[in-house]
Amino acid sequence: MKKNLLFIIPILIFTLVSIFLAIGLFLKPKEIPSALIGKRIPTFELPKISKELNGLSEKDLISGKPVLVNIFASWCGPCRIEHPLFMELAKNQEITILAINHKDNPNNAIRWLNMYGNPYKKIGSDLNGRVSIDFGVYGVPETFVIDGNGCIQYKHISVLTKEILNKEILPRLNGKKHVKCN
Amino acid sequence: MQLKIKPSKLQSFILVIVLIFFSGNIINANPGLSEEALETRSQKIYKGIRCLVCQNQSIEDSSAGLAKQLKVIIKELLNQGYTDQEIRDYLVERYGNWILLKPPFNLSTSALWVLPFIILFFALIFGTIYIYNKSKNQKETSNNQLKKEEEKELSKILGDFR
Repeated sequence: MKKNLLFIIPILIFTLVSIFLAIGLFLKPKEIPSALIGKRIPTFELPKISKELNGLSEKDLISGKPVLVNIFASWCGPCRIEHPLFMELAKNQEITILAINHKDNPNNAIRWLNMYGNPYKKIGSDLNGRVSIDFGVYGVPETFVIDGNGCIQYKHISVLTKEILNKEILPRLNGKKHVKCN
Repeated sequence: MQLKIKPSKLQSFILVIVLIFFSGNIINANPGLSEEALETRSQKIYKGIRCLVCQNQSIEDSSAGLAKQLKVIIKELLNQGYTDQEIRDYLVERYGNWILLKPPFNLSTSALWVLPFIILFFALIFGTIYIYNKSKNQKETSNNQLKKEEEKELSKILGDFR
């Protein structure tokens, strides 16, 4: 009996290690959880990219109802992939989509928007990426949901998919899964 | 216009010295932090900050865009009089503990820090018990002399080799 027990121990350890490794397989280390969820947005003031378009400041994000903030750049390939999704979202008048143009030449950004359409109500030009750093951005594209009081609710890293949009973003835009800021 | 009092050589020399002395402060906008001190302090911080886009590199080793920018920001903050810890807090506030290469000790990381010691503790206990039992067994068995029959068999086997 005692011998049997000794045999079980390595098997047990092996199973435990396998379970942890299996969990590890499905983690996404590239997607860092945002430290800013449940925190207030930083104060910022970004200039406009062209005469016709508005700039962006933190006041635009505190509008009384939840908004989407997309960090994009014309040089960013994946941004083009998610762009049609934003175009479709923009058809819904209820949804406000704002944007930070990340380390981008404004002229290129304008050309990009002319080519693919502009779903954004307001765009701030973050030439040196400093405001993006205050938002904890480390790559483009990233998409934030911010509630009406400027409290960061959710952040999605990389290309936005329909699945994430339906599962995570739309409910939060409707005020569900609300996280309070202190 | 002519000066009424012509400065002596010594006076002008002193003036030059004084001007040089103050000009140092004008060039070095932050008198508290010399270029060298800034460099060593910033290097020390760089080594502990993870490059977020290259994962297991510090920003010191990395030349990624974000790493470069973080380096610039760290230097800026140092010049503004931030302490090393305040700079780390500044980055953690934005990017979370993940940005520190050495995770801090808190509730969520306690398992990470404590588990190795727990494992070591149990390993030591089991190891000592194992060795203790083994040596006890050995003492017991070493007292056992070979039986007469076994002795005979052994000499027979050994005899085969001669």
